[in-house]
Amino acid sequence: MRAVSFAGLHRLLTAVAAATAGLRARDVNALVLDGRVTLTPRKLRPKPTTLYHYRNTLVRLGAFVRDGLRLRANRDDADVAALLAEPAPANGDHALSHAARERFAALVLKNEDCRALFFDLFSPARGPACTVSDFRRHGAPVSWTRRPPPDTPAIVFRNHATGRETAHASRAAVPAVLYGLRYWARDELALVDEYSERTLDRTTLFPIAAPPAGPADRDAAVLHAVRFLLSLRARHADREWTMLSVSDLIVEYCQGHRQPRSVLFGAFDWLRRRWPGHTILVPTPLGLATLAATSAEQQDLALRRYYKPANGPYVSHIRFHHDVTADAEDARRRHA
Amino acid sequence: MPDLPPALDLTFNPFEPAASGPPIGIPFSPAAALESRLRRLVQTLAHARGPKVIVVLGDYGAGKTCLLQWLHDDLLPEHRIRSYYFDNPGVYFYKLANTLLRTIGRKDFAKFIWELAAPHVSTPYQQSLFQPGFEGYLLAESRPTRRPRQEIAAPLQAAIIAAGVTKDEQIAHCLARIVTDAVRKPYFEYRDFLPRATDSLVAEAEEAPYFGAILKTLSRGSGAAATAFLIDEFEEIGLQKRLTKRAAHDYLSTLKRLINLTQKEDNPFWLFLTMTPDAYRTTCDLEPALQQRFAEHDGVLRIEPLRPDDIIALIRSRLNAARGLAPESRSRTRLFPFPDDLPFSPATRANPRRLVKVCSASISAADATTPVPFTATYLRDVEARLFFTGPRHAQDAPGS
Repeated sequence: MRAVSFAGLHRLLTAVAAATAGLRARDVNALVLDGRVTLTPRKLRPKPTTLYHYRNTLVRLGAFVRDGLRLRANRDDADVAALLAEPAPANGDHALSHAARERFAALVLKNEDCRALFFDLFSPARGPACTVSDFRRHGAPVSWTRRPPPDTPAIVFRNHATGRETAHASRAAVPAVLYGLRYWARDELALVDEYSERTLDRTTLFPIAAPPAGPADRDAAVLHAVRFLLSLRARHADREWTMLSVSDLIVEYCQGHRQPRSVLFGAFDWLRRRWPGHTILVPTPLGLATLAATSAEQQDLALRRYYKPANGPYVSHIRFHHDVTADAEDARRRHA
Repeated sequence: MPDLPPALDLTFNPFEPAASGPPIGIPFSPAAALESRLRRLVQTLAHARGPKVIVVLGDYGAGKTCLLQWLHDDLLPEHRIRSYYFDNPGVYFYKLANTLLRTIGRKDFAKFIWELAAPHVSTPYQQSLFQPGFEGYLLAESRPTRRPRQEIAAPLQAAIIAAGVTKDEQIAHCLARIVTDAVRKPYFEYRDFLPRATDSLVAEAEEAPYFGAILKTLSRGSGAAATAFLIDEFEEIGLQKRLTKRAAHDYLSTLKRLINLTQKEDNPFWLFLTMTPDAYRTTCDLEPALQQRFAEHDGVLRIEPLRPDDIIALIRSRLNAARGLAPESRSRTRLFPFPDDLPFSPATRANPRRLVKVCSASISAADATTPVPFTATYLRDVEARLFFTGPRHAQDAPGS
């Protein structure tokens, strides 16, 4: 399991499905090498290993079936059929449609290897979540940490609901989980989001509810987050200003309400735009934010705890005035 | 700089355009609540044992630098505490020693050591009819001699130990060399403080005790009741994209060593640190022991947003320093040329830096046609120019 672009997988699947008799592996490769199908937005010509991994991923997920030497789309599978009914993203486009993302997520969750290695780690106390909606609704947060020598180096996962610990130590499993499945679930399929502890010795993955399907859904999610933030003022009712830590909010709101960090950051953007004179962002130096990081990868993880407005510094805290309301009309009147 | 319109009744613009520190030539004091809390805290700690570490938390522009300057200029001298101000000194311990001693100067520091140690020199130097003192000693040492440097420093080294500055021979030797080499090199160099450099003045692997000896020398030499370090933006280490593992370790270890120094009973030492909220939290998470030491004596102060009384006090203190000789104008409004009811957004009213910047721009932008007292529209326009406070694009408009 390697990092692959699911938009590329969708394009490849659609192209192979167009050949009713299926295609041999070299013909599938030719689709990509001739430029008829692109796998990623990058212009580089993919290496044979990359082509193999894309083909193999579709085979393992049950989207392709082998027919002798040929590969053809598995139209018998309802999720694959639904995927084929969805228009594939244009060449070079990395964005997957909401429906396609959910279908791919279903294929991934149906795969026993994916479940055993990664998704079952999120099982709530009542048993493993087998469907996408089950996973999104009932999956438990999981923390992972690297177990250093002198013990056998391993990745240790701990389920927050059950307290169960699972270790992956094999040379194949560690990269497959960390750089394959984790990446799929977090960046491609939006099944989980991730943040790191300040000391960077532990990172938490938490399942998220279905990401907003369209602009209206997104606006509703953002307003929900705004209302949540404003409700926290009750803790400091006697104060004119309420100051909240972004990393605390990620735990309290994103993990607690199964929302991606992008929704919380959308709420910050909303407050900044609607109540500019009533909202203050408190930046933090980059060197300090990544104080405990000893590699570029850890630095990226550390920065997930912070909010970064476009062209702005990393923000550790947000402070808003007690006059702020979630009513857009109110904001309009203020600026009139 | 063009003259200000006479209608403003100001001889100069008392607000700085950058607002990055305390005003020059204008009396300054922090917000009333914070001032009284700090006064109480310093009073309590002055008679207490244990670490004397005070952490001041505030976001950018909240007034941390001004607060340290006020401590340096006003509050600490009242308690006979000699303070040294460090602005972003870097994460390495020896950088503090470098900054400190270069601030004082080699000759003055050498004189402190000499005055403390000279009465304890057991092997008398050649006596003369007139006691030559420090200057005479330097003059004598400046003569060409074939004596090895070790031999020249040895009597002074023993005297430093006898004076109780330190018990460590290597540290005493380093301090003695500061005096004996003062003629040859009357200034400090950065490499003097690198622990492993040739001819370094820092005792190897003994930076903290060495630093303690320096502090003791300063404290006793200057007759102060205690020494204080005011460290501004210790965490401001964002120049590098990512700290090396060594630098991150040094940041924490330097902090820990400094705090350890405050625990020495024979060497009263205070530490004032300013930090952003995130810096404080990260530091405490990485080194939980530090948090416990900070928290003793309730030593963590938060700079809260300005309250209405603080805003009026800040603006009036600045305006009063720049008032002209037309007293009739003062009766018009308390904050003339500003209206009593400041129309700024809460974000500007809460943050001293933003407030000072907007006031500065309001006065700078005024000309003969500007109505005084300033109108709400004029002030809001100035604020909007400095800090955008409205929807930038049509699609950003509320409700869109």
